Amino acid sequence: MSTLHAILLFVGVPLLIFVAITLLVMAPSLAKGPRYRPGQGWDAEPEWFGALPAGQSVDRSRQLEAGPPSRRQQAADPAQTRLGEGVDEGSGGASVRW
Amino acid sequence: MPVSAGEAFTSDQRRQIDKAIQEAERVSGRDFSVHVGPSSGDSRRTAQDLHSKLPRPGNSILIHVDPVGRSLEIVTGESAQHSLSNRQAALAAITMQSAFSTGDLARGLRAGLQQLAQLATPVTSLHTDTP
Repeated sequence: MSTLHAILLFVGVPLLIFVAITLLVMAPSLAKGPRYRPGQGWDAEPEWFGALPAGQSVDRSRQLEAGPPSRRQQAADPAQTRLGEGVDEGSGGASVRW
Repeated sequence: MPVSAGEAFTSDQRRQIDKAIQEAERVSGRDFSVHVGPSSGDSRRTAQDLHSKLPRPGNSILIHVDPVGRSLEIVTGESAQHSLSNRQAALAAITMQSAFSTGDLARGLRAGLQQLAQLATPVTSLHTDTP
């Protein structure tokens, strides 16, 4: 067995196996694309499913939620908080955070 | 990796959520709406505001998911509240919370919708006094 042959066999083959395993592990997440991770950025457009509120269209441009993800800093803006006016306080439900 | 523009869900996930909503509406007779997006200010008020703008707010159950503020709000209408108490809504919220905390919004929404539909379905009373 020549030196080149030995290197190919004992280095090349394990390397190929490493690459194959890495690809197999990463393939599902590569196929799914970027996903949501809590605490990290969120740049996606707001989405509606089911019945839409009056005045909302199916296209993703919603006047209520338009803007960059940094809107949390704008929470003190009176124009933003005024949105909640006229809300039916009698409605129930639940709130959780994660 | 942050979610980039327009990629909150894959088309497959969208289909599954739509299907879950249809099934939930069929089972419970209530209107279900899901909104996934940032809140404008307080998340509870945003959710209530969105709920009041729905076509039939009284009969509607709205799930508002804020991935930025990491909050989930379930808003039930006046009439929907008769079959879905706040306690039951909280139960479904916990189900969704556990999926959301792992980053799986689609699975959480599917599981939550399923549970809400089951809980909101009126119990058929068997009248033993009728012949």
